[in-house]
Amino acid sequence: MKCTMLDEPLTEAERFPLLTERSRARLRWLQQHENAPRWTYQCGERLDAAGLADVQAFAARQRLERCGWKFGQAPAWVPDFIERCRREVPFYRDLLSRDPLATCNRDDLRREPWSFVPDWADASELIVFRTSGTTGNLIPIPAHPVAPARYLPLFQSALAAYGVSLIGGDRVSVIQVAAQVRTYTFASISSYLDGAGFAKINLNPADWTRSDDRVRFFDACAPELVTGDPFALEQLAALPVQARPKGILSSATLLLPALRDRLQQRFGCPVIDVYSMNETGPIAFARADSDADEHEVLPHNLFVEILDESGRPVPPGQRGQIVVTGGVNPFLPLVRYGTGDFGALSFHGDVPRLVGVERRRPVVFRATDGAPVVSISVTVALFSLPLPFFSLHQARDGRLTFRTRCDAMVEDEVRHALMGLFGATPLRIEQVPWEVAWSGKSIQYTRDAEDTQ
Amino acid sequence: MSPTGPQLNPLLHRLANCPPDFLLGPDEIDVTALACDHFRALGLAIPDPKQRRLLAELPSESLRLVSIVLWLLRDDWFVVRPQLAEATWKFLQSDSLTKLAKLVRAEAIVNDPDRREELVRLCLKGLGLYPEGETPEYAADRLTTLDSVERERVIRQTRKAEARARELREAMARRRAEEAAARYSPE
Amino acid sequence: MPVARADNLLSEWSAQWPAALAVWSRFVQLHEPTWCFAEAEESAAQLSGSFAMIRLVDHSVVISLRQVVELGLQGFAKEILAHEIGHHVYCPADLTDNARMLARMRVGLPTKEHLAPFIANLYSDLLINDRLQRAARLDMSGVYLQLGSECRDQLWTLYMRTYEILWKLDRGQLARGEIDGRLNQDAQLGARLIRNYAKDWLDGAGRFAALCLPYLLADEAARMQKLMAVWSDIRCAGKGAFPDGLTEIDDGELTGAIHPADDAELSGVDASAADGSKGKAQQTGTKTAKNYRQPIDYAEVLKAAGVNADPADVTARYYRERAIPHLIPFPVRRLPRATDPLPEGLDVWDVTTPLEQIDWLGTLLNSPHVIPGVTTRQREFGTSPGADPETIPVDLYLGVDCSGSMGNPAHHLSYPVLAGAIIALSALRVGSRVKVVLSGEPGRTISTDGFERDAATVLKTLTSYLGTGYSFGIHRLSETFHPDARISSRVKPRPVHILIVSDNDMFSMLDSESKKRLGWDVARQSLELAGGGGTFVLELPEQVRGSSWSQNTDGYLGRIAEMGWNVAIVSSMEELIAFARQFSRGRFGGR
Repeated sequence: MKCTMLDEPLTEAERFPLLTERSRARLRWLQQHENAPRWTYQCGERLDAAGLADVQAFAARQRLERCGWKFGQAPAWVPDFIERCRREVPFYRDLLSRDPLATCNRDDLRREPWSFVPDWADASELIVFRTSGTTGNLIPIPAHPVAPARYLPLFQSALAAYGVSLIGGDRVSVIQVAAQVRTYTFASISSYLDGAGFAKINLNPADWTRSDDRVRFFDACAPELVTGDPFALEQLAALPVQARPKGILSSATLLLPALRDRLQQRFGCPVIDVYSMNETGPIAFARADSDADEHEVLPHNLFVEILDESGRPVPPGQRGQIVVTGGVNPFLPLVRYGTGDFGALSFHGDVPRLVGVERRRPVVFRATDGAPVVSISVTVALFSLPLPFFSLHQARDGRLTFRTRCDAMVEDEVRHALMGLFGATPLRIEQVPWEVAWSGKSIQYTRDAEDTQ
Repeated sequence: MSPTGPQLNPLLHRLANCPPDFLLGPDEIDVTALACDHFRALGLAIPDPKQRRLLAELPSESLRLVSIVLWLLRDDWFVVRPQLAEATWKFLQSDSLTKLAKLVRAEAIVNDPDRREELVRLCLKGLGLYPEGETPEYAADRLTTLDSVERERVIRQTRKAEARARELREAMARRRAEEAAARYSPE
Repeated sequence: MPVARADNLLSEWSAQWPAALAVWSRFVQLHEPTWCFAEAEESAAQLSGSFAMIRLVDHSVVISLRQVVELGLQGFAKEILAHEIGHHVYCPADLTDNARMLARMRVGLPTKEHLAPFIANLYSDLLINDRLQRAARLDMSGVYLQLGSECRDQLWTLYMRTYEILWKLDRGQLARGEIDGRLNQDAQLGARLIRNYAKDWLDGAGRFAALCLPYLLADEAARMQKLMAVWSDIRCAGKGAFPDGLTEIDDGELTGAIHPADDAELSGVDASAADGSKGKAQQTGTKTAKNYRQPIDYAEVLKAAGVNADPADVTARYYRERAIPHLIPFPVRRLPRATDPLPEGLDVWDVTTPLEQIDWLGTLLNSPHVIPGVTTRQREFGTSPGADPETIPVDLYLGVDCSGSMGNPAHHLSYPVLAGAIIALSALRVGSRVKVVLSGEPGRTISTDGFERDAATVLKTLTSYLGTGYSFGIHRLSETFHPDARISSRVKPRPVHILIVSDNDMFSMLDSESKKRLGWDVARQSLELAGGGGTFVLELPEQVRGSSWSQNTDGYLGRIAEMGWNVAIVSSMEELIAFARQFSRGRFGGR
């Protein structure tokens, strides 16, 4: 009987269907390393043989097919893709029969995410991601395990542009660093990378037993690739780690050129900014030979358009909303999905680049004791509460104002959660009118500008 | 439309107390004969053979309903109004009755309060009447709400729309789905 | 509120209380509501946002007459009072049923579980109001007309249309929003549901939630929530009490949350493969094995019911409830030759010793003021040869592996923790004391201060979470069992049985060295000092035993047994529970 309440946690075999003796040994090595952090979570790739084959086929196509198109001409695969979506996906069946050129957006996803899942999808393979970005409330994203796994071939593409390749096998290939108050950390392996290890770690000292564990563990792992958001990468750079990755990928928020250069200096390897999104997967990456503000479209199966308010494509160089078709997630195919981000396109031959993408900037608050609290930590702390919308503002004197709409019990939980992050900072919670709460506004983080050092 | 018809509740009671004999199928009772009895009770001549044949050729589930309707319309209120006989005869062979017969079994018509009310109202409508004390709008609205044909259509549509959505919603709510899979970079 | 007006209103409403009670039954007894006239009084009575509130634990009703006036409901005294009484005598009426209703609704609201309390309020209101309007001929529809006539929210429209159908009102009399074919049929289904499940309302709860769900997707019926916030009278119904029996999932809970359109009885439309419906709810002829919800869902249900307890208490409560059906008399030490006790001397009485052992005469001689534990004396009994065997309780040292591979017991059921709870509670019940040590080393450890008598402390410690390291730190035993521990020369230390729950990672831990001592040595010495025997319970799944990668399992097991420890192997978590029950039946022989 498939029932919610009888949910057992996954077994190791279910988390890692393709575990071999060697990769299990690598997993144990990560989990039980004497300098390992206090892991807060367990998570695996959940790929079976068919899944791995899919990712490898995706990787082959990514290597062989040129990603690109000329302005005004969609790539050859697009019309078929859209037609299949119209036939097989409830949401598009409805939308595209009314208007074949319609766009959709985050609100549609928020309202009924399940309507984006194709008819042929097997519900038992469904997994769910929660968006943790700073725009929009937390939406559950239906996905298939191949979706996150397909990121690896895309990363390989980006790294190849810098002459870097991953070997995988009997080593730790990737480490993702975070620097939050609390987050999921876990050890995993990737069968696509031939059983290589992967770990997500949190640089917050509270997650580690001894003060030098972070450095020792990182150096012991000596990953080929490091990923993370700019704030976490900056924290990593400040630690006396000696390991030298072959490449660093930065995502989630805007990577400022100064930090990029500093990281490159510190680690002696390419530092690549990746523009990516939960719903779409990686969209574009910064090439070595491009302007700081130019990102080349990365996946071979992503079509990017820039549309104006009425949904019409604008000529290259002109700004508009970034709208995508395609994507890595077979359980969430996208047809003219408005990202809510703005930028322009420029073409070098048939290679499209996004120019001047307005990216979210992280806001770093201060706790009572002066410790930094990144905005994403707040999102994560409030993750499980039913808040339709909220905004958090910190004044220069540290006072916090939280605006949302909820009942008294939830308000107590909000207070509790924020106290847990910020300590005894004065906090005022304001209830906004219902109409505002559901008008589609996004999560907003702001703070009074500090005096520049 | 003629002015008020009979009171609703007595008819609902009458239908609830329909004798089991009237529920037997056309194999066991001669529905045509029953219909002729009805005419005689109204003091009228029985319909001619051609008419009687038309009735007899109705599908068997329709005939089951016909016998129940005949029970209902043997209520005193109708018996003293032979002028309704012609409309009655037409109603027995009507589309609306046939459609209802296809969707709802005879036992349910008699046992389920909503179906009883639906049949009574359908009969009254077929005779150009509506229940005493109600407005025509109310009576029509009430019948629409109870209408089995409409209900069937909407229910089937609802089921189709809901089934897959529910399956996916439940899948998404499961803890195993929430654990998701390892992601290699932050978003 | 002006005093004179307040007084008038109060006497009017107060006068209606007996009549409102009588609407339900001559025999219902509830004390009069707490009447509030000002915001300060409302806060004191914990009434916030709603003009009325009930609490099941003390059968209380709170009414804010100030808000009643503000909302224009002064003329509905009997209606509103009878309605609130209805929550006490009809639905939910009972703390456990209240929680069960919420649990069932959560099943029917995937992705919107947090709205269960809101939907529960709507459902119970429908049930109560239908009774009051039809049987008692009260003007409930008047109340709704007054409250929210112009709202056009889809869910509000559905709700009002349901009342219209139930009470044979004209379309549009209560429901002002748009009513299409679908909504009309849904309201019809809602009305049938209320009538069909009037007696067994718990069984209809999940269906009602499933019916409402499509109307909650777009914006969670925000405007209606705002509207109904002023009459969210059962939001805190469960406050102040801990309902029992909620670890178990009722039979109907999982199968009952189908959309009424899928229920052939309610919809009147048989299932057919074409429309993909699941047809009638599955009724199994035989009673299925009991299903239990996960600790995290247990916590969510209690939260929805308004129980605002410390999460650690909730978790401990969960494991206690799961453990209790398995409790069995804990082993005791039987001495082969017992003697009649001869009073020998006096020793300071320890507060954990049973009261009857205190020598009161000796205590009073010591000091005229009796301070337990300090001035009280316990007569020390030696032995003289006697006839009956004597039994003394054996204390329990319970060491549980809480390393990284074990999940958080507050989220998912942890079998080692449950087994520990069964054994610990069994021990406490016969007067043994229990020391709980959780450990995940290298990393952290949590333990009770010492050997405890208090079940709550033991359970709370046992259900804490570490998630560190890779195994139970066997070296920790030396902190409790060391030769230099101060022991009163006259009080013989009670024997302690050491029970360690772990898995094959224990082997590496035994091999490891800490403070210059091997795990093996610590284990051996601790066993000797404890004096009540020792058991390792190790979870060793088949595939681990068999694989060439694994350590030399048999070798290790042999060495452990040689030291004098018992070893119990379980190959699955369920077997761990079976072990716990068998263990409790065992005996301790002469170590």
